Amino acid sequence: MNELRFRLYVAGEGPRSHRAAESVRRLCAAYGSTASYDLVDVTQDPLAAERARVLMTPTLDLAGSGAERRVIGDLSDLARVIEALGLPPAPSPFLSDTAGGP
Amino acid sequence: MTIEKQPTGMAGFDVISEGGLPRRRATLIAGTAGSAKTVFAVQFLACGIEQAGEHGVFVTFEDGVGAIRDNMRGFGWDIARWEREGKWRFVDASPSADGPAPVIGDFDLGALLARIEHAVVECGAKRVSLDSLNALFVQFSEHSVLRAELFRITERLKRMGVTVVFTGERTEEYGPITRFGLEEFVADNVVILRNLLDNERRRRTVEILKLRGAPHQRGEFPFTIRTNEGVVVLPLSGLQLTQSSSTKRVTSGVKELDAMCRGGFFRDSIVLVSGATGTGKTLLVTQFMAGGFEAGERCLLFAFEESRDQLVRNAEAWGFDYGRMEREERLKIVNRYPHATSIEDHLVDMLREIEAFRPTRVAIDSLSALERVTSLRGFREFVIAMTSSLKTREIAGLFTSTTAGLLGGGSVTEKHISTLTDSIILLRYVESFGRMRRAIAVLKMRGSDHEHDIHEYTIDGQGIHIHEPFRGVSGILAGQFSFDESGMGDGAAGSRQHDSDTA
Repeated sequence: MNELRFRLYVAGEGPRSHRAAESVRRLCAAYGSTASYDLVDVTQDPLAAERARVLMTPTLDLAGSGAERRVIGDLSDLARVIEALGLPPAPSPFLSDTAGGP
Repeated sequence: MTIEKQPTGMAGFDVISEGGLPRRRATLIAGTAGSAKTVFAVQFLACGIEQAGEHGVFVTFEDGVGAIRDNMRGFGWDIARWEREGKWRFVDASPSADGPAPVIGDFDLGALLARIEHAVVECGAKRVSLDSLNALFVQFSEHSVLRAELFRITERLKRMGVTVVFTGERTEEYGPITRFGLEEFVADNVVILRNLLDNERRRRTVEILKLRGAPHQRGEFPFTIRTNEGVVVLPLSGLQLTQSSSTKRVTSGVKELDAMCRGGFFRDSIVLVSGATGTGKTLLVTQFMAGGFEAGERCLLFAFEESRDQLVRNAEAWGFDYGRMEREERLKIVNRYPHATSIEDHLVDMLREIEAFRPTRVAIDSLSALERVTSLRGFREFVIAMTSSLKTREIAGLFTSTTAGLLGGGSVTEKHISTLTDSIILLRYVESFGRMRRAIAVLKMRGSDHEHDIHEYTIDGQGIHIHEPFRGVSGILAGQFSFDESGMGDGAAGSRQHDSDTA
């Protein structure tokens, strides 16, 4: 399986940013060693947001995939994130059973 | 607390807003599709750069950055150069070709805010335009989030000392202010741009709906969009209809007519000459110009009915040398085709000609030709703007108006504008015993006595000759003649044979 590299854009360190970062950590964990992510705080690096033309935070990009592989929000529903990003099914279950949603 | 205003630098808009937009406030520019919202938003920044040395950030939610650079070049705004010079920054928030990304969970516009803030700081912007917020609302259904976030962004920008203009779309010209209620939460001020169909003609107007706490002029003002300029507002209702105040007289160019007016026209008065086709209106204009030339004045003629060459030939036939007057640069003939553009554009063009040539007298031949290309309201506004501009510059004006019928009657033109002019001169045909004769009367002359007799006049190779009053004919002005046997035939008896048809 190809590597999955995510980039998460957040604005500052508020609860919404933390929720999104936590969601992405669980997402990567479910894909094991093939998945990784980096975190961009747009208040610290606005040019990164400018280059990627990000408006909303949090925004999750699947790196190297173009704008169509992008979701917005705190990613509270990981099953929907996987579907929206067109990812293969996760090899392991998500760490917390409350996170997967219905 | 008085609100400090920031001159926008947009022609006319600073007049109707009485000084510009309130500084460090957010102003909504609302309008239907095609109402020139984007032009306004770009111009707000362009004027800041060109006239006030204030840099700007343009946030586009709708058009691509490349399209804006291209589309605005025609207005003389070289955005790409300003970007290179660090005076203009784009924040590209236009929709992605792939459509909006799916939303999963809560979000805010933190990245947009960070990008705008960064651009503002980086180029030291004092002005920010956001165009158009509707695009966001169309793409995302979380409208309450968008509203709260846009409020947060504008508040932040205001605290940074920035004056904000943002555009929003309306669906009706006289309906709700915007589709998504933007005005209620983001705007301190609201300006509405309209693009109406008035009497089968496009009519653009701008109205300042509110300027929170600051005075401004009320009502709709026409504007036009011009190459190399953008939006040009005509601050018409701001003009006062002043009556002529000068007591100085100038010649009409016809000695006998001067006598009928008790010494000529007033220096700053507007005279309307009304008559049927062929009565000699253009001749009177020619003599008005020639009279000015001989008195050492500068004369400007706006011709809407005949070409310059035709006018020069006509003048020659009456014994006046337009060519020489032009060579000495004291006559300028501006020849325009009435239908070539809107009356608002004609007005702006004409005022610019007046500004550049600095005439002491101006003739418009004819007003009727201009009336045909606009609505009644547009026409009245034109006449008000023109007369008040001439008066404030102490320019004598002569406008002609063509009556519909050959005999008697008034023209539509004079019915609508007679109160706007200082003097009215009537030229009428008189049918008497199988012959057409011509009659002239001074109907009104503000601020002066004038002759009340109706005189006969003739036209020959030396121009107009005014003779004795008509006697024994009544009903000349109405075109329904009745005669009494006593006085017929005097007046022009001796000069009949010179009468030519060059009028």
